[in-house]
Amino acid sequence: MSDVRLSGVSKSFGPVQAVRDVTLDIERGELMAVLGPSGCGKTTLLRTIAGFERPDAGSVIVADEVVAGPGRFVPPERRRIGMVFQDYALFPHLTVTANVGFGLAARARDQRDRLTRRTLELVGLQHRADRYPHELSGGERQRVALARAMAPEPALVLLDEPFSSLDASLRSGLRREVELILRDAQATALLVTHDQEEALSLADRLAVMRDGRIVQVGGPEEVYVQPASRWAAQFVGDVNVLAGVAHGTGVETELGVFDLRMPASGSVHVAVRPEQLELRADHHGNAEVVAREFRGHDVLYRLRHEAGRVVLVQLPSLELHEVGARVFVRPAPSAVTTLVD
Amino acid sequence: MILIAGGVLVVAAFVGVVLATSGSSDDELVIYSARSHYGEEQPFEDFAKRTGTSLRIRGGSASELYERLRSEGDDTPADVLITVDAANLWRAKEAGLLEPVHSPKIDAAVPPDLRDPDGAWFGLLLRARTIMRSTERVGPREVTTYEGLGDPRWKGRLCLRSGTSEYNVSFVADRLAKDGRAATERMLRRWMANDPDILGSDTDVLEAIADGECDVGLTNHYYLERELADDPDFPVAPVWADQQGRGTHVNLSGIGVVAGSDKADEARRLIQYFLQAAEQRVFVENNHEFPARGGTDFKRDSIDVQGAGSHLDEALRLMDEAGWN
Amino acid sequence: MKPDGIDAWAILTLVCAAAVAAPLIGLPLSFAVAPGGLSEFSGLVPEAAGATVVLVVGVGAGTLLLGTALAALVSFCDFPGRGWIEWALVLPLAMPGYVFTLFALGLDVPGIRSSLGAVSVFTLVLYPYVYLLARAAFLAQSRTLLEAARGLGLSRRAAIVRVGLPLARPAILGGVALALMEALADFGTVNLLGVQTFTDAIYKVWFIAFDRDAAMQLATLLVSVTLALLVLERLARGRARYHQLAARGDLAPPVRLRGVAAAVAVVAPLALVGLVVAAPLAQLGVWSIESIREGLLAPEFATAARNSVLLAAMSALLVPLAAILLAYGARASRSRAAAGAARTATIGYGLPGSVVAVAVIVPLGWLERRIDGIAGTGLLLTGTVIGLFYAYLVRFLALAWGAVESSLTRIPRQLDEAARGLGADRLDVLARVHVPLMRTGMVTAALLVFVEVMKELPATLLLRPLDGDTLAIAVWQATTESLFETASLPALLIVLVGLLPVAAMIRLSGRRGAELEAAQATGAWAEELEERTVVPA
Repeated sequence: MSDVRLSGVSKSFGPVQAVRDVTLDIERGELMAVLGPSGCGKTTLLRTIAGFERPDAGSVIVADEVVAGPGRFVPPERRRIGMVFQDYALFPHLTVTANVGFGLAARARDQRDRLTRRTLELVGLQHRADRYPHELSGGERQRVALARAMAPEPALVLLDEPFSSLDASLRSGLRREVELILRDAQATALLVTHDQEEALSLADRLAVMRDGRIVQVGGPEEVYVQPASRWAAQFVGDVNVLAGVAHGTGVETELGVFDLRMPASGSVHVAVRPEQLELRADHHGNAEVVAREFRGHDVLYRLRHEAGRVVLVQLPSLELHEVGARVFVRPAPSAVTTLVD
Repeated sequence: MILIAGGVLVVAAFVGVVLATSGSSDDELVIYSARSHYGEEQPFEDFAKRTGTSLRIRGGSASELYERLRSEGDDTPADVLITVDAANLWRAKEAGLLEPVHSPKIDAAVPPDLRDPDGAWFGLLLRARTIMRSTERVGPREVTTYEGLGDPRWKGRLCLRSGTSEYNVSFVADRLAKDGRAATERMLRRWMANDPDILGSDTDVLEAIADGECDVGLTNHYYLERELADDPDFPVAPVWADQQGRGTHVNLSGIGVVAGSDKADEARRLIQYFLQAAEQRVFVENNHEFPARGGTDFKRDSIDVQGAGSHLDEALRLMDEAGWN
Repeated sequence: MKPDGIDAWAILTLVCAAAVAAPLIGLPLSFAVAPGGLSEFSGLVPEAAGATVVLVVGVGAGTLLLGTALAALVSFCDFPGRGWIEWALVLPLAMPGYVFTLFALGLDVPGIRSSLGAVSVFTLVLYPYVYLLARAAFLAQSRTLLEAARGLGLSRRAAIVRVGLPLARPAILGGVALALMEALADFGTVNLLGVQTFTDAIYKVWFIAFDRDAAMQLATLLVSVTLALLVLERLARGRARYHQLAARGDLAPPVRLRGVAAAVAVVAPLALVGLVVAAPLAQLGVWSIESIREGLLAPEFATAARNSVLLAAMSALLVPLAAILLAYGARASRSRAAAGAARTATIGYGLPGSVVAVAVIVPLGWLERRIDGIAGTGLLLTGTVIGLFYAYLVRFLALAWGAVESSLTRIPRQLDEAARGLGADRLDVLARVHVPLMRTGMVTAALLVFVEVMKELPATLLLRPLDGDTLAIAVWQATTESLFETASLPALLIVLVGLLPVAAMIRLSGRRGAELEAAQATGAWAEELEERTVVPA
């Protein structure tokens, strides 16, 4: 596995600019996620790295080799890149073994068999080796797709929304499995998704993408806790954006005073996550519960503050407040917030 | 790689097929013949035995042979052209497909109106297209002219072959050339007014007469001869039309040397051979046409190849207008 | 950066398509060469147009109803003997229209020499096109769709009529289009029955009046009708997507028929096949025996048989290859122009063989004279079967194209990309992914072409070399001389040999085949994605 460097990559389709000047580095062995809403260009970016699209500008370097750049274009079949498609694209006329071994055709028979077997064991499908794709479950098909992409020991593995076609209940378990597989193989992987939970839980680093541009790159905690912009804050998780006045390391808002990560002064906006607020029942409280979303281990409350705005608060589900109840909401202790535009 | 090997195999097979199906004709006399293919081998076999030349016959309809000859040009493997219907001979000559033959011997064997004045083609055999009547229901003098078929008494009792038959078209073309448009149109419309059964072939017409579906019809005579050969009691007899007038309409089956042939001498010999009295007899026995050499024992109309040929288009249109499908 | 627009594939496809379609350009050119030609025969046009309309409407409706009803019967119902009745119903494909007409004329069927008679003959002989395609479509439908319809309150029959049938509509219309093209291009049947269609008018003008230019002009009109048909078919298909997201490829369980219904379901198809196939075969057999006994056998019979098989087999190899090349080129180049060009190359199917033959012999003759001038090869093209193969290609590409293209388009582009991502270059993708998945389509194409070439007459007549007589020609020569016994043995052979590939085709499109195709449909919603990948995700 190797590293990948994207530099100033742009791609348009007619008048539509899908990817604008993207610069991104992926370290060897790193699992990077590109997170963004539908239509932001993330799949195009992925396909450009794979070689199915040709960039209009910029360069793509994989393992110190320029695979796409001014005057140079290596076709996909010669890039050592494995790709897992959204719907897996398994060859229906081949067994699991033949699918996984497809990219190993150029190797000697025993090497091919060995690699195929090892990869099947890696994904735990050695007992389904002689089945056909239409005989497998969704999760099994996904693992075959992953095995097929990884069997030829590529420099990079690309995953295009790999969990979106699975049942929600399977998703988190499979996510775990896929992560383990990739880590076991010490794979360099780029995963593209619109599901922020997926990106946050799987990735070593995230790149948040909007309208063809990368708006923030960082580890999951960093992106979540220190969003680079209001949009990023709103896209990655729920957030309350509050206006306030900053005095050094504190900021005064209509909900109370919060600590600031970086000192500032004057009129500012801060991003306050729902778990950074707490509330208690209070007939003379400052807000009313308008809606409640029970999510198993926690609850997301939607409140209407007396000042008029909607406030989102997340609490453990030990104590439940009814819709219509009056509550008092205030900052949670040691809630550190970040400035946003 | 497999694909390349496969490709080579395909090409090899292709070449194999091409070679297997392409005969060569270097030492054979090649005859393009629009005549009937079957039951006619005798004269050709006789010639082959006599002279030791092997023959190759390519069948087809006159227009196909015509197209081929035009396309092949000088490279044509054909040496001899035999067609039925005078108009086809005229076309072939007009298109320059035939090479004139100057042989007093051959000229002497064939009456002048049955051969091309420039020697491009010679009539081999004659066929009469005439009225056929049911022996059981129609007397020999009830209808004696072509126009007579248009008499109202034959309404619902007349059978004709379809209007696409080249024999019928030739017949009409001939009438147009000799009688003019008005007369011919009148005759055709009166025929059609009798609500004739239009059938697919001359044989069908004869059988319809025999079965009683109609009483009179118009066919080539040799089809009747064939039926009689099978069944001497076949209840249909010919009426040689227009004996008081110009005579019965006859058409010609002719032979010519193909321009561009490299075996013109052989070809000439073939023509001469076929025109010998003995061979003519063989032809006649086989297919019951009349020999060009001997002629008919009833009065026959003259053949105006030029006239008939140049009126074919008009004949087609007229028949269509009259409703003769 | 080089824009990924025009590429080698597009050019290759356009060139090949042009090569096949080129002779047909000569047709409208005839208007330029001899502008007044057609006006001499203008009286023929209204009649021909009228007969053509009757034929199109009659045969269209007839094959639609008969083919769809039978396909629905065997797809949605179960009754004793369904297994082999299912394939018996395809057998009429092996029966050429002109042979069946001879049989009908021989029996003196009253009223057959009419438009109605022609419509009946064509319906009986051409319905298998609709039947085959409709059946494949029905079998590929998923159970969930019909169950969804039932859940919304439709009875089983209503579900079939309101959901099953419309979903199969493109396939059904495709079959009807094929049947109509065959009917319009036919000459033998309509000529024998006295129905004056365009082909009949073309025959009159060309064969009898020898006016090639006027004939080509009439042929141009005929092509326009065919084109109009094709356009209508496309429009009817509309913009809807007809591929079902058969998640698991489940097939709906059939309705068991009992009692009278079951009896009818068994007897009616058998009677149909008996009438169209068994009876003529029996009659031909009787005549054949008579002809052998009376020694009326054509002497070059063995050669003719050999030639027929060789030509048919070679064409069955070449024409599908050409279709694959074109279809693949259209797919690989992603250019609309290439796809359109490829489709235009198939227009030859709608033309009578005689027209194709004339349109082909002129450029071929010219070309071969040029080549002869340079290399002294003589009649390289028209003097060998090379010219004939070219005519077959022009004439029958549509058949192979239909079978191959529908197989190819069902392979989602994502599979191509997956293979390429795994190191396969374009040829590899073709060999290891496309060919295995298209196998059924390719074999069907080969079989269809084989049967058609065995039956083909007019192009063969004109373009065959000296030794190149075929069984069809033997039949024709004997028929024109009313020698039915002599014609019967080669006719019998044509039908029998034609039955083999038809039977093979049926095997191929059997239920297992449909299951595999349904499995392919598992990834079918990748097609939806394909539409969307042109726009950024």
